[in-house]
Amino acid sequence: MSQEPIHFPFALDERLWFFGGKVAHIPIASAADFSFALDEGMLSLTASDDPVDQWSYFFSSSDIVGIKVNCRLGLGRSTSPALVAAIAEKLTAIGVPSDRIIVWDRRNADLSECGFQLSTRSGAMRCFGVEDVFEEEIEEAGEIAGRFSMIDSRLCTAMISVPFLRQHPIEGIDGCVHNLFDGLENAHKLNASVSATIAAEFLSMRPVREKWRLGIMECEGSLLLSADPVALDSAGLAQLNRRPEMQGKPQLECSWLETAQDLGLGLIQ
Amino acid sequence: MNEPDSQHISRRDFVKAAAGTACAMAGVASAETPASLPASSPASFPTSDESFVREASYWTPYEGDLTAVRCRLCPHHCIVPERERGLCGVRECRDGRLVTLVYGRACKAVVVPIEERNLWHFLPGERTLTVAAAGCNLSCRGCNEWQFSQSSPDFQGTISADPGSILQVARTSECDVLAFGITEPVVAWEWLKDCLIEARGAGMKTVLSTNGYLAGDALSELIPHLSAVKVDLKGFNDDYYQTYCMGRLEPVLETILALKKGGVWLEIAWPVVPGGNDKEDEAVAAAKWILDKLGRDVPLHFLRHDPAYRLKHVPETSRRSLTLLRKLCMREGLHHVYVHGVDDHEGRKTYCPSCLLPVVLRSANRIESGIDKGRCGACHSPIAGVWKAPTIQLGTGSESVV
Repeated sequence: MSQEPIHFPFALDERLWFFGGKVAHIPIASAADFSFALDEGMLSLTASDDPVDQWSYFFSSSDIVGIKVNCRLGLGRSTSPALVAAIAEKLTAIGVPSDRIIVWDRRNADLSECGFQLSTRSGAMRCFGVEDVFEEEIEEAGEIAGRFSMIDSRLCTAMISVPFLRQHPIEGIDGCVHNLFDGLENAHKLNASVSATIAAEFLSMRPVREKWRLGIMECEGSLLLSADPVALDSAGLAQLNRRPEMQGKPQLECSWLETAQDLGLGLIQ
Repeated sequence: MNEPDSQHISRRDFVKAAAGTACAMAGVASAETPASLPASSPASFPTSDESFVREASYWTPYEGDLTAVRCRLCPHHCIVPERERGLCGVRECRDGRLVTLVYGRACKAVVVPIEERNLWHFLPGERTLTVAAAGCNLSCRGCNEWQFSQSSPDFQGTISADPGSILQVARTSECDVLAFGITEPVVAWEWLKDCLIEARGAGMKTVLSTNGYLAGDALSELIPHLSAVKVDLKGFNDDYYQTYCMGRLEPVLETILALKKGGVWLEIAWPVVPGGNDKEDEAVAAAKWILDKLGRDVPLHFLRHDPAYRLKHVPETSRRSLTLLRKLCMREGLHHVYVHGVDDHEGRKTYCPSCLLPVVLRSANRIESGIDKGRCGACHSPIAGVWKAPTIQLGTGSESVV
C-alpha cells in the first residue's frame, strides 16, 4: 500500500468513523514477538503494510505521546517494559523524538518495581508517575468530578493506553479505559464506584476523549490493538470469558460498554 | 511533626514546566521542529511513604475468586481489588489484606476556637487542636474542603502525626481539646481511635466533626472515647443524599441515634444548598425527627452555602432562607437553632428556653456568656451543653501548628 498516510489529530468520535469496531488480535509467544505483533496488528487495523504509514495514521512527529501503563500489581502482572519499548521504537521510526514519548503511571514506585527506568532526562524516553501535579480546575462528567494530571491534560498531545488486561470484581475487566482512570487525582472514586456507567462517563471527558489514539493490551498469550476503546475492552471481555476457568461460571459483564456505545464513544465488538 | 521531603518539589516543578512547554507548543502551527522538554535532576523522584501503612480493621475477604477485600468500615461496603482503594481513598488492598494508608499521616493541623467545628454548646471559645487526614467516604458536591477530602493522601502535604506527637503538639499549643475534622475523620479509623484513647487518657476532651457515615460497630468502639460530636445532616431525604453526596440518609440517622444513646454531647449541622436541601417541609421533617428521637435540646445549625467545588455556580444561601428554616424548626419546638455565615443574625445567639433572654452572644472574635454553672444567669434554668467561664476572647483566625 502506498497511499498517503492521514494524520488524525481528531477527537475520538471522528476517528471512529474509520476505525470503529476494529480490533486486531495477534497471538504472541514471548516478549520477542511484540514488535512483529505490533506490525501485524497495525496492518490489520490500517490495511497498510508499511510500519511508518501504519503509525502515522495515529501520530505525527510533533506529538508528545503518553504511554499509560499499569504497574499496580508488580512484575509479571503488569504492563511489560518490553512491549512499551517496542511501541516506543515504532513511534521513533515515524519521527517522534524519544524524549517526547512519556511512559507514565500512578506512582513512581510502581513503575520502578516493574522494571521501568524513571527519567526526566532530555534525549531519552521520559518515565514518571503522576504523583501530585494536577490541574487547578476540576473536570466533570456525570458522577465524576476531579482534577486531571497535567500529563494527561497538557503535557501529552496523544495517548496510548497499555494495560495488562485482567478481571475486575466491580467493572468486569480492568482494561484500556480503566487503566486511564489513574490520570485523575481521585481515581479511587472511580475504581470503587459501583455505578454501571462510570467508565463511559470517564471516557466522555474532554482530556480523555481528545487525547485517545490507541489501546494495546496484552492478554492471555495475545496482543489486542484498537483505536476504538469500546471495541477493545469488549474484545478483552470476550477473551476473558473464553478462558477455560470461566467454563460453567457466570460470564463477566461490563455494563458501561453499552452506555459508551450509546454515547458514540465506540462500537462493541 | 515533620514536613514532607523537599525532593518532591523539584519533580513537580519539572512536570509543571514541561506541561507549560507542551501548551506553548500546541499553539505553534509548525510543530514539526520538536522542542526539548525541560529536565530535572534524576534524583528527584519521590517514593510512597510506607511508614503510615497499617493493617486496617473492619474488612472481610472478597466473596468472589479474585484477590480483593470488602471493607466494612462504612455503609458503602466497598469491594477493594488488589492495589486499589475504597471510595475514601485511604484504604487499600495489599496482598489480599486491607490496609490504611493514613495511620499518623495528617494533611492539616490547626489551632482554632471550638466554634470552628460547629459546636456552640461545648466549652465555648476553647482552643482546639484540629487534625485532619486526607480523604472522605462521601462525595458532596458542595464540599468546601474538597482539595483535601476528595483527594488522595499521596497528593497532599504530609505531617507525621502519631498519637504521641499529636498530644505533644496539643500541650505545646495549650489546647485541652483535640478535634478531628476538616476532612472526614472516620475513614482514618485506626489512627483516630488510638489518638482518641491517648487524648482521653491524658485528660483531654475529644471532638469529632463527621458526616456520620460509619458502620455501627466501628462507631460503638469510638463512642466511649468521645466527648462531643458534630454530625453533618446534609438533608432529610435519601434522594438528596444519593445525588449530592453519593451516600444514603439512613446510616447517618443511625449514627446520630447511637451517639445520643452513647451519651456523647451532640450537635447537628445542616449545610443549606439553595435549590437542593433548602425545602421548608424537609427542614420541618428533620426538626420533628430530632424532637422525637433526640429531644429539643440538641442544637441544630444551618450553615450558609459557600459556593465551592461542583456547586460553584450555586449562589450563597439567602439570609431570608436561613432565617425561615430556623424559625420553622424552632416553631416545631427545638430550643437551639443557629444560623452560620451571616453576621449580626439573631441565630448566632443562644437564648434561654425558659426566660427567652439571650445567654450567649457571639461575634467574630468574642463570646459573651451569661451562663453560670450550666444555668441561665437570669432565671437559673439549665441550658443544655458543656459550659465554661462567662466571657471568652477568641483568637483571630486559625493558628497553624506546622
